[in-house]
Amino acid sequence: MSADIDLVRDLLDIRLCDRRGRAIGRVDGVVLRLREGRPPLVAAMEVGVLTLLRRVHPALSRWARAAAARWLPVSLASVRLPLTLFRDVGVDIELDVDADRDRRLLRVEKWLRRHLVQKIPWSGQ
Amino acid sequence: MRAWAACAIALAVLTAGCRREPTLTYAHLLERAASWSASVQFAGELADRGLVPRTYIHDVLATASEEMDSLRNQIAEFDAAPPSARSKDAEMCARLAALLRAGETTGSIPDRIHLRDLEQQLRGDAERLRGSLPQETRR
Amino acid sequence: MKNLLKVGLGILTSIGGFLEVGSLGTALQAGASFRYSLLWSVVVGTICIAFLVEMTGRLAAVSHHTVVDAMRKRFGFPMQAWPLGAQIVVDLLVLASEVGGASLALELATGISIRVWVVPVTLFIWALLWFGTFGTIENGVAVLGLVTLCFVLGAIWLHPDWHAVRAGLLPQLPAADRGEYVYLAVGILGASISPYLVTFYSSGAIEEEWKTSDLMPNRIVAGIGMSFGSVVAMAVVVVAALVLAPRGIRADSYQQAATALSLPFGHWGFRLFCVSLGIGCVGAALELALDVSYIIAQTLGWEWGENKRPAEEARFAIVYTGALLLATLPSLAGIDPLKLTMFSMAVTVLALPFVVGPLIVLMNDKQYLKNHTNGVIGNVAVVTIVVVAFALAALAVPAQLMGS
Repeated sequence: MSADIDLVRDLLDIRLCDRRGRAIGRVDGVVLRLREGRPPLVAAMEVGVLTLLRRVHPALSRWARAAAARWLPVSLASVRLPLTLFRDVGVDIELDVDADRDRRLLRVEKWLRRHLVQKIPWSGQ
Repeated sequence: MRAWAACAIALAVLTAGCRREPTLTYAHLLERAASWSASVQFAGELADRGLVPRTYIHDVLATASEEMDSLRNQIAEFDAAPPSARSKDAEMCARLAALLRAGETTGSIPDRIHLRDLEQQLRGDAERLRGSLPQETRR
Repeated sequence: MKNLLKVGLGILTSIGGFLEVGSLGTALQAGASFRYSLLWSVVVGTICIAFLVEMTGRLAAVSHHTVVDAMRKRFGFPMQAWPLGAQIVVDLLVLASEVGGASLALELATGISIRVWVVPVTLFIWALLWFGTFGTIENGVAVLGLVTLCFVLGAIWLHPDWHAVRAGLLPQLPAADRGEYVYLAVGILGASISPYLVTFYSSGAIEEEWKTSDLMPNRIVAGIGMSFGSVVAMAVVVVAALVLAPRGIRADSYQQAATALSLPFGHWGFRLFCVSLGIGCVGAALELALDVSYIIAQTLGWEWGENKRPAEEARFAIVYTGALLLATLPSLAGIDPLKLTMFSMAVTVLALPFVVGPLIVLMNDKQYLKNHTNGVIGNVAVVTIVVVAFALAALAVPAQLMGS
């Protein structure tokens, strides 16, 4: 059985979770692939703060990228996730990924956990 | 960009007329100074009855003397008030500040009669200023 | 029985958590300067916030979305970016006031400078957030906040003229000092209808996993809890009117107001004032620091929740840590907490329309609320509150110029 979803209403800005229910982020952008002589295809969801800032103003995204490259030990580059990873759609969209194992995902979260949070006793593992 | 410019113009128009009458502002400064004198007197009455700790007396005297110094400067520099009134009121604030600092050094409330006298003079001046204003600005 | 306990606890936490530096500071100034004539603004503010928290609680229980979550999905990030930015600024300012207020309570109690207390107070608040759970924070600190009922007892003991008190429940511009009157009215309304209360309440509803069966308890807690809480704020106005106003004490700083309870309670009065200020501020600081993390995490789709360990949600934990660090700066720089409070209340009302406005759409969206969308009363209430919010925002800057 198939169903339609509205790209803007039901995909853009929806929260994404991995197969264990961990939040990965939100669909900050949708990537369409243009094909010669054929209709465009929804190729991927884009997750990342730089994509988000670009929606407000492109200059914000450029400044944030430059500042991050200069000051942060972790890349803020957005991640593209193909729609083939869809598992379920409910309050959040569940994807067939494991956020802990996939190195592209939650880079800032993992860095902060490793270098700051876990240095404090009783902060959990 | 046009929306921001419109908002900025609206804000400028809205705030253009929103300055307090200078005489009223000056009266408020005098009332604030009188209020601090009243606060210290009340703290003294409560301290006599053992209802507030000595640490609070130190604290209120220290804060009151700092505020009095600040108010004295604001009053002395208040261009809209006549120079003779300004210097008289600033001098009263200076005397109050000196009393409070002396109290802070000894750790006790200064002479309350003196404090009340200065308070009443400051309130009297504030009332006279209010009386000189149109009806709706008087208390 | 379980529901009854839940409702009871909810009402207690609403009462205990109602008074904080904004509501205390504005109420003290209002009573000292204008006696009972600003009581109406406490009532209006309470009615507005009661409606707002009921709505956001309902949204969370039915849709399993917080207000921020639903705003991002419904309106998209570009529209949400500015209200989000405004609310973060407001939350940080009010958080700084609360940290300052709690530190000042310790200065009043011990005589040791506020600057010495700021760091330990902030560390204490941080530790409660880092190692505690939502339940401990929400229930524990708010129940301790019931100490603020001393203002109610004090007001009764002081035998106010109840006719004059009742007259203060209706708005009337005074003959003099109208600029200051409007300034204080805006401040009281800003303290009552704080945006953080709206977003924090809906986040709390998700933390506690509310369902549609919690809709009636939500309504009772929002209505009765907030009403009882506002009685405490009104009692502060009455106490200031009876103790400070007759002596010409204006309550321009907490040092001047600290003696407000000494007549009804003797030597306990001063201590009760310090404890009420301290606990009220710590409770609100916990909520505000969490709220900054909530709104950023929910907007960006991070893992969030006070019931999780910091290692499970590092970004969430680091954001409230950073917020607390920033909140120490004004007090360390020597800015008076009450002056900072009054300024932050004025800034709060500027952000209010952005947070409340989208509720007109959200609360009527069947995709989120199914059969529990707003009825006529709810819609009239939310539209009225949005109009009030815009009016307050328009008045905030002129009021600040004329009244401060």
